[in-house]
Amino acid sequence: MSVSRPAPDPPARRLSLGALARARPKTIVAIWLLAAVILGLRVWGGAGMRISGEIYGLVPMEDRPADDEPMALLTLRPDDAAAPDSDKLIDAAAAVAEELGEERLPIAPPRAELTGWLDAHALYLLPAHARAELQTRLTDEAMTDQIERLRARLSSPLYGLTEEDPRRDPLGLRALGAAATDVYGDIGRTTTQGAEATAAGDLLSRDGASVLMQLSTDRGPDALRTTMAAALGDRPVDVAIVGPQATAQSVAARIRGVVLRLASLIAAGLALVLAVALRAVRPIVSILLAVVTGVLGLLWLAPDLDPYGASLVVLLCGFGCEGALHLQRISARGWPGAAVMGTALLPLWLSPYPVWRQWSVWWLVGIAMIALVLRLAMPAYNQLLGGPTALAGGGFRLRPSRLIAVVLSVGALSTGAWAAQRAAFRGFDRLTADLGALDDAGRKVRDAFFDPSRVVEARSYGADAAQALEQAASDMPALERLIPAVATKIDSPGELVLVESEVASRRAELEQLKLRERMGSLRLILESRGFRSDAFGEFLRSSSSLEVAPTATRAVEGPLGHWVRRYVVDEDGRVAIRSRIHLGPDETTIPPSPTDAAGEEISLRGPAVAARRDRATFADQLGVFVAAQLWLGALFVWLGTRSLPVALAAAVTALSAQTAVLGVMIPMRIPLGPHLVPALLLIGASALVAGARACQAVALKRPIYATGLMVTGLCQVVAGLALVGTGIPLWGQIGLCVAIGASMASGAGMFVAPGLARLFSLRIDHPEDQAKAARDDDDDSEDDA
Amino acid sequence: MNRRTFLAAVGGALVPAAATAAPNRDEQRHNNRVELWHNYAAKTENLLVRLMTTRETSLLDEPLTVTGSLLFLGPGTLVLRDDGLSGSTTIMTREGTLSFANGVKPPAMVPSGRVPAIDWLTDRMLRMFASADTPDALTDGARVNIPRGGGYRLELLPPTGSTIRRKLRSLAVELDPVAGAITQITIAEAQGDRIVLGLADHRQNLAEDDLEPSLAPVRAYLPSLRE
Repeated sequence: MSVSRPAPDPPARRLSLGALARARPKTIVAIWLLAAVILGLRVWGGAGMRISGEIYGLVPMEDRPADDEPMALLTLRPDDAAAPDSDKLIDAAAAVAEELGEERLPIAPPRAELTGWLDAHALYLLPAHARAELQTRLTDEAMTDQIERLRARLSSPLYGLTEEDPRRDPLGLRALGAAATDVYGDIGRTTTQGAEATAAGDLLSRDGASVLMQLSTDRGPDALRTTMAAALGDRPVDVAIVGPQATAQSVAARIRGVVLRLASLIAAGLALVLAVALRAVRPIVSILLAVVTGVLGLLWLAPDLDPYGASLVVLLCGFGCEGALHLQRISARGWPGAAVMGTALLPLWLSPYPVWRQWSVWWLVGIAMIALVLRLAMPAYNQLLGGPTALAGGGFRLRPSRLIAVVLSVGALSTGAWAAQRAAFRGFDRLTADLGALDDAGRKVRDAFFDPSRVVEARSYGADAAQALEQAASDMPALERLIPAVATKIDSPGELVLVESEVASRRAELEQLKLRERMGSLRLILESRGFRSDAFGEFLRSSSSLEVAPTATRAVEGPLGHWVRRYVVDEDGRVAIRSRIHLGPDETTIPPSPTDAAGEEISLRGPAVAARRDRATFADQLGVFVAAQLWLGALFVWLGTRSLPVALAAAVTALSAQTAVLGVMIPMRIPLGPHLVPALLLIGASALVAGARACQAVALKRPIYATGLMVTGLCQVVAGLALVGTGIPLWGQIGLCVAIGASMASGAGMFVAPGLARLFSLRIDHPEDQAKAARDDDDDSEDDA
Repeated sequence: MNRRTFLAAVGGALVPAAATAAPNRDEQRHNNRVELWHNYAAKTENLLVRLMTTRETSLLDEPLTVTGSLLFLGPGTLVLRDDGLSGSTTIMTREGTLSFANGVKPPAMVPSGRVPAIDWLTDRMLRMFASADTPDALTDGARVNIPRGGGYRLELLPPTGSTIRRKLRSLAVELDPVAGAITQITIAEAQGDRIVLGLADHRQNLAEDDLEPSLAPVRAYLPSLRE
């Protein structure tokens, strides 16, 4: 593919990395190889690559779950011969609780303490709507009816198996308040999956085969497992830790398990693509070594490698190759391509996703490092050993067609507009499973107890725990209004206490009912119907007395105090009670922000609520990121070419490639979400560069090397496919998106961009500029050679 | 071989034989009972029985005794209805259960899968009356105890350590020694109550017209019969 070139200008007229490389090739190659060996040894020794497994990277910091509150799942080892023996499990849980001491907290109110509290304060705690009904229920006629009904139902063989407890509530008064909360109306059964609170305050699954315990500890999962296993001794019980730290450990292990396969896949893929294109060993080795050096350098500088950043590092290998294949340059010095690619993720610096904010800069650093090695070390290497980087085969003169360009572009844009409305959405709270982090223990917790990923918090503040609890009680009505549209359950000690200011008015209200007299009547009615009134003594006594009110202070200092502590957290010198809200399964429902009695907003926190809010704004944000990237990329192209039509055509081409990918994602059932934003931006960058190259080739009347553009795209496809090959679903989605998008970007660059550029301006570039650009281009190509 | 050696050898040979014979006898007693039950139940398409329910409970001064009827409709509907307005109606089906005082608007049916103890009791009681291919259908999946003493009794126990045992201790069945029909069901609850269902005047496979008086009051609540 020889092209006649004019004599180059003297290279000394400007700073050129190529010239520097030619001047001191031995030194540069020696430094390069030394750096590559050192960086390689660091990674080999385990110091150069720190894998964190942090799965909540996309979640805003304030919405991340606490690291120091894991849960422990105790499961009976399956025995085919017998049904699960929950007695053994409860015994095991007691042994573990004893060993852990203060590190273990009740996850549910301990049964006896809760029952005692409700027995003592049942009438105080009735919700407002039930208090009017209460008066009706306490008339002689109503009580007689209720007791006769009770007697009638005693003949049913099912009566004793229900949750009803006539000794504690012969009149069925608790049912009046049952609609609002599980804890109040349905003592013991605390989850919709049917798990029950044990006497100690752990949760026992309905099948009796597993117990869930709440921990509060700074110790890591391994230390906890060791301690708990020692406490369990030879009991036939398995223990698993469930929580952010355990999940991070499992994800990190999964990533470590695929690193070697991933490295092999990408190295083999890139070598194959480059071999087909270049058909020479030395350039392939040098390009691969340059990319590897750049990536290792990034790993040395970058923070811990989380699952999201790791996928970008893999893509960096493929996108870094773009600078190695010197085809038609966008500008004389060849910097716009690297600039477009390097700044592709820069718009994410303004995104709400912490991990993407971080990696938007690290990506730029990575591309810069690879570009530096390619521009400095590779020419030196070629100078030393000979053998320029050259493509086999010749190019062709591209005749841009405006019609084809417009049809393809409009088709892609309309497909994208259609797809954007219909694409499934995957919020960042649901990516745990896609990272392969939802293990058996996590699934069991979700199926047998509750889904921790749907639990969000609302904080109520006070100077101390009692004040915060009182505020939580005051916030309860606002939170309860979230049921059933948004939430399925409110789990808060606030529902068991009364605000101090309400105690007096509630007492006055109850005193009007003349409870002592009413209970006297009830005793007579019971006796007249053959009941032993002593059997109902606890109810009759507690209902007659209004002296003890369910205040926050009493709850914090009383038998429920240990359980209440689970909800308490110190925050900036204040104490907060964290009410837990179990959101419903409909992910499209965005929880409204409730307001407390003073009219102040009660903010809801947690990955689930953050993900739902993100879902609502995702389309707009994606549009902003894409627009920013295209604007930035088009600016670099314009600065490089000084041609507005080319810049505009490249930007529209990039947008077409991105929207076309959206269209393909629907039939391939790839859900859209924040995890795919960088992939879409990289596809845009790839199309922008390919489009600008093609436009320049046409403008300068140069042959376009389709093979070169294809090879560039194929390197990116290889990186995407390597991610797919790891078997991690999240990486598979990112990889597939990139692989499809990169192939489209090359095609769009060739067939759409030049046609659009011609459409935007009959004369793509000014003739004088063309001539100058041609001279510069030839000069620079000589430099490279 | 002298006499002493011979007797010792015979004794030694009989010991293992006797040891293996003991479980066989229990097995035999078990088989006798389930086969006796199967002789009667295998023919059941529907069954109407007079019922006397007695609950012994610490809530009452005296045990509560009410009379009523038990109606079984194959393959899986059981209705226990007390006479008069002072009793209750209990409906047990595979889909769910319902229990309410007579003369009161019944609540919604509790679907199966909510309360393990109710599911277990419902399953065992439906098995008692449903026609089955094998005699073991009565005891399949339950721990079985055969009490000593007279009478054809079988005791079915919930699985060891299961959450069911927090509500229910045992379910005992007594069979008619001749016909094999169930004559008494005793339910021991964990809180100490005991319910004895005495069954008499068994009428098997009645015509629809004969069932109608018993069906009419509950037809609206039976999912299988709702039009």
